[in-house]
Amino acid sequence: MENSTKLANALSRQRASMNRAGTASGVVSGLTYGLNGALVGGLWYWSFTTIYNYCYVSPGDAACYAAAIIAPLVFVAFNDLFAAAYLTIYNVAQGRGRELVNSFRTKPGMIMMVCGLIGGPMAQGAYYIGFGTDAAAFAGPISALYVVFGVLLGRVILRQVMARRVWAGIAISVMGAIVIGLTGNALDVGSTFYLGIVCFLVAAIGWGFEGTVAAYGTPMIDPKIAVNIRFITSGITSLVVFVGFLTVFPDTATGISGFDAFCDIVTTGTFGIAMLSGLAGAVSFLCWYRANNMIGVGRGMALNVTYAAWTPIISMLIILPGSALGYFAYQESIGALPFIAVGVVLVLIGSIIVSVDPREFLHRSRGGDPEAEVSG
Amino acid sequence: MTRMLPFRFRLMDYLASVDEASPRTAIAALGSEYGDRKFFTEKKLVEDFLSMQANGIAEETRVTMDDAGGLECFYEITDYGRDLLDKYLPAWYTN
Repeated sequence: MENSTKLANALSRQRASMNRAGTASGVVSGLTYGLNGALVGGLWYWSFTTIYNYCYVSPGDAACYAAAIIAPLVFVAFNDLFAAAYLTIYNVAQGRGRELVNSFRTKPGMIMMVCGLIGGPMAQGAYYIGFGTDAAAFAGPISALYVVFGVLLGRVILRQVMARRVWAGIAISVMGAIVIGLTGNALDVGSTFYLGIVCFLVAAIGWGFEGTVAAYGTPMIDPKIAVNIRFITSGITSLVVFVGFLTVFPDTATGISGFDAFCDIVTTGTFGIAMLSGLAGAVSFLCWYRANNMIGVGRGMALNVTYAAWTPIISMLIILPGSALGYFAYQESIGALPFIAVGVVLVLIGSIIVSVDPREFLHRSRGGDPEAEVSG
Repeated sequence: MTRMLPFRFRLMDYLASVDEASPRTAIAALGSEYGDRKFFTEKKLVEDFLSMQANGIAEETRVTMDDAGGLECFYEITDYGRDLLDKYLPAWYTN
């Protein structure tokens, strides 16, 4: 065989292998982030903590609302702290301990800390407050709009030019969000439904901003280090802000404070869930960046955003069936399920169209693999 | 202890100083500075170059094959990569 043919075959095999590994990483990133969301959503239905138990004893009671807001905020701090701990152990074990310290002292490192503040206490705080409202079922689809907000912010802040395809994807995602929003009326939802929707929108804007700023400021930092800096910042600040603030300003009706929630989580099985959700979060981010490197940022993001679909599916599998139905669409209004499904699908399709040019995707799939399949 | 740049910064700085580079040439050029680091292997450097390519910092220039059938990809820095270096290389390093 001629050298040029050998080279072409070897190159083709290497790229096909990279394509498979990158796609697998992207799928795992979506699945594990879906698991992370399901564990946090499921927390609401697993009566491990004393505070959550108030809701079983007296649903609708003031204590129930305190649990709905305070416990998730403290939980998110633990979630991020555990993710930071796993990532730090991983990086130190890989010999990147000094890299981590040195990167903190650079400008891109500081930009990543800002991303941690916006994506952590602000966006995740809003996201988990939303989980405690009547809109919990819409956490995945609405927060998936972060891709859309990311692109819009990129247009405004970075003056990036947007293709018509991107505008079309944004329009489809917004339509999906509207369909989901309209379902709220059809369901005769509780009083906190729209507060929850606003929370998820704040989370989506925060994550979109985080993604845009991170993409602008941090390509110079190893992604594994960048993610670590992000979680260390968000974990520590979330703990200080949420536990500290909610301890100084406890729930006036019940006296439940951030410190109560802290003790409750540390002394119950919730601690184990935080360890597991933190691990899922850390694995998700590592796989996402690995996928971005191997198959491109667009396709990496498109696979990552499938978490929005995985969250309700995994919730149905791991949470008790009755609770899962309640989580998904309120048992008495199951007729609304098709609308929610249509909304979820529209949001996902829109986000994927924003992330990936379908023509490029099809071209790569056709052009990259067949030869490799023959030779591999 | 001598103050050192994070490895990615140094790798970009090296890439900007040559016409083209591969993981193997980077190992040879930067071994005296980062050779004691656990991540300083050809396999990990392949990932570093892929990451830089994915972020628009580096572009592939050519691929060669050695006698054992192993591939070696060469890269050059992009204008965007040079802009980032100008903007973010710490003053203590450039002065």
